[in-house]
Order: sequence, then C-alpha cells, then structure tokens
Amino acid sequence: MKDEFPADIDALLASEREAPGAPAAARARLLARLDGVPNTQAPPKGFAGAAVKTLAVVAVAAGAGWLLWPGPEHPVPAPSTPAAAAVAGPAAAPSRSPEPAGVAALAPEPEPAPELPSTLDPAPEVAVPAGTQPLVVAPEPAPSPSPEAAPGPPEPPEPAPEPAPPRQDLDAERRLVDAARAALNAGRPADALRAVRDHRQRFPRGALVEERESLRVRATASVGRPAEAARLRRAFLARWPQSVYRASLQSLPAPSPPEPAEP
Amino acid sequence: MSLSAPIDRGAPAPSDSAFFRATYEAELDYVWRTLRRLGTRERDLEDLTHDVFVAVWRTLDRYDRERPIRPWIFGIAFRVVSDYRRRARFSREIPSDREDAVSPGPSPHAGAEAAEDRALVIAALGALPLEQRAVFVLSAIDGQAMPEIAAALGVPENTCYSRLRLAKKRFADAVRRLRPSAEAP
Repeated sequence: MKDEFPADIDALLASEREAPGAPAAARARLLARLDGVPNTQAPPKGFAGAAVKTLAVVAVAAGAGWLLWPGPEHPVPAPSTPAAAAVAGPAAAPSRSPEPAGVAALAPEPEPAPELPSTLDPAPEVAVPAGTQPLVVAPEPAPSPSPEAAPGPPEPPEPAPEPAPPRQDLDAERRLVDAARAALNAGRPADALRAVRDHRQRFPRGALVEERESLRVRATASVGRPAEAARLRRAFLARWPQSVYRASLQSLPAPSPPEPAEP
Repeated sequence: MSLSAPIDRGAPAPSDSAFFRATYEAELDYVWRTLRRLGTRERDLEDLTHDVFVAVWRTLDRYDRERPIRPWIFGIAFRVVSDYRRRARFSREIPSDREDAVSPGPSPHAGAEAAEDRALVIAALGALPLEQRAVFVLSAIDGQAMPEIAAALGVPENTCYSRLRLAKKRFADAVRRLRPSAEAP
C-alpha cells in the first residue's frame, strides 16, 4: 500500500509514524486519574474500579453511551451513525439513560456495604506448612488495624470515603496481590491466602480489593473449603456483579452438599 | 512487548487488571496519536484518551487475545471520535483539523521540519471523511493488514479497500493543495 505513494508522501507518512505521543504532563494526569490518586472523589476501588468508574461517569455524562459497544472483534454490524452505535452494545442500554447499566457495571459502587459480610471475615487460618515460601513485600510504615484481629463482633461499617492511596501504597498492594496470584498459580493456595490476609490487614480498603477478593475465593476453594469459597463467591458477585473475574469465579466447582461446619 | 502483536498473557496468566494496566502503559501513546489523526483537537486529546481506556476496560473481556491489540483499540478510538464529532456538530463546534495542524508540538530547529511534515499530514487527513480516514490511518500509517482493518472497523474488507483507494487519492490531493509551494513568488 505504502509503496504506491509518491516518495514525498511516503516521507510525510514516515514522519507521522514518529509523531510524539502524550506529553509528559498529560501522561501524568491520565495515569493519576486511572490510578485513582487525585481528582477522584470516589473511594479507591482499584485500577478496575474507582478510576475507571470516575472516567466512565464523565464519558457517559458527555453522551458516550456507545461505550457499551462490545468491541470490533464481535459480529456487531458497524452502526451507520453514532446514535445507532449507542444502542448496538450487548446490554442495549439506552445511551440517554442517566446511569446506564453498563456504567454501573463498570465499577459497582457498593458504598454502604462493608468490604465483605462480617460473618465471612474472620476466615479460618490455614495451616501453613513449614518451609513455605515467604512472601516478600515492602514493609508498610503504618499497617491498618486488622479486620481479622477482632473475631466475633461484627465488622463496623466502612468509614466515609478516604483519600486515594499514594503511589507507594499501590506498589505495595500490587506486590502482595501479585504474590498471592503467583502462589495460587504455583499450587500453594495456603501461601496465597496468607498474602491475601496480609493485604486485607494492610489495605482493608485498598485499590486492589476486587482483585484480592477474587484470589481469596479461588484460594479458599483450592485449600479445600468449598462451602466457604461458595459464600465468598456469592459475596464477591454481589459486590462486583460485572467484575472481569466473574467468569473465572463462576467456573469454580460448586461445593458438594452437605459439608460440615468449618472450625 | 511487540506493540502490534497480541499481548501474551503468559503462564500463569496475569489478571485482567494487570493486562489492562500493561495495555494502558504500552498503548497510551498510540491512542494519543490515533485520536489526533482521527481529528481530535489538541485540547480534547486528554479527555478522549480517557474515554478510550474506559471503553477498553469495559470491553476487555471480549477482546480476542489471539489478535493484535492495536486494531482493536483503534476500533474503540474510532467510535470515541465518531461520538465526539457528532457532539461537536450538535453544539456547532465542529473540530477543526487545521487547528491541529498548527500545533504540532515542540519543534525547535532540527525537529521543525519533521513537525511541519506531521502538521501537514494531520491537515491533509482532515480532508478525508472519518470512515476513509480511519482506513487510511490503519493501513498507510499503522501498516495493518486489511483483514485486521475490516475487523477493527466492523465493515467488509471490500468496503475497506474502496475507502482506502478513495482516501489515498484525497490525501495526496490535499497534500499538494496544502503544501507550501517552493516555487511560489
């Protein structure tokens, strides 16, 4: 194709291929917004949560209801008009709706809900076999009070929205969640649960809660507590009904009935 | 990571959040440039980049990871821009491609000529209808194959070939019309 152009136009196009991308300032602002650091009034819900939600609300407020469009890889006929595109999405949500379902789904906002039902929080500790790999994470200067440290009484409701975590907290969160995932994928679900618990203690309302809880469900199932895993999964799906982890969690085997009460 | 190749989830597969983050980091500049090529005003680039990644996240689970990611992202950007231009038209604030052409970015000395060339490309792209422009950018600038272009835009390949043929002629005409003539008195 390109060789059909005269040389001068080829040279122009070659120059355009080297065009600069986003300026540093814009890049920083975009990253900050996607990380949910500044200028987001929602509490941190993770990269997949608050930041994107905030942006989605802006986008939809601007009339971009077509964001529900399923993507070009799918056999959706190309809408002849943008207005048609707005209703071409799988949810067929009206783009003029003040709060399209797809946006709510993008980042559910369970403000009044506690992190998870309190009855599920004091998760029984898993016996960690001797010699298990230590999970190396950056030390946290001021760990939050552990929700698991107080067994029995119901967990108090979450406080009002707090400022988004600073960058170093996100990095530490990421390391813990990555450690949990790596342990789970390596067949060490007990280690994964340990990392999950660590994250819950340090970042009870962190930015990666959704990802952490999905790992918690899977790890709990993997250590042989299917009933608890099922309860956690229900809680997870109730809180994040459109989570990207939904499919993987739904594919977990159902617990075989009846199961004895767990210690 | 090869920017035009599928992002390999690897084994073990990273989470979708991690995949999204990797996509964001790898493709931010591509999205930025694409939006500009599709006729977004400089002052709106940041917000529209935002919108694109919102949509990327929203549809990430539907992305076929066996296929290159850039055409898929381009398809999203194309629809963002379509909606943006429609809204601008409704508000009688039609984006001016010439406006972009005069703000090519920092271009001191050695880079000035390249910046002028890029400004000319953006201005000439402005002579193309959006549908033709999309095919042209994907083919002539991004170097994508026609099957990927057709999939990205959701139109038949023959339609894309037709649009590309028209776009190339219009683009070349626009370049000749817009390029400052060295012979001009």
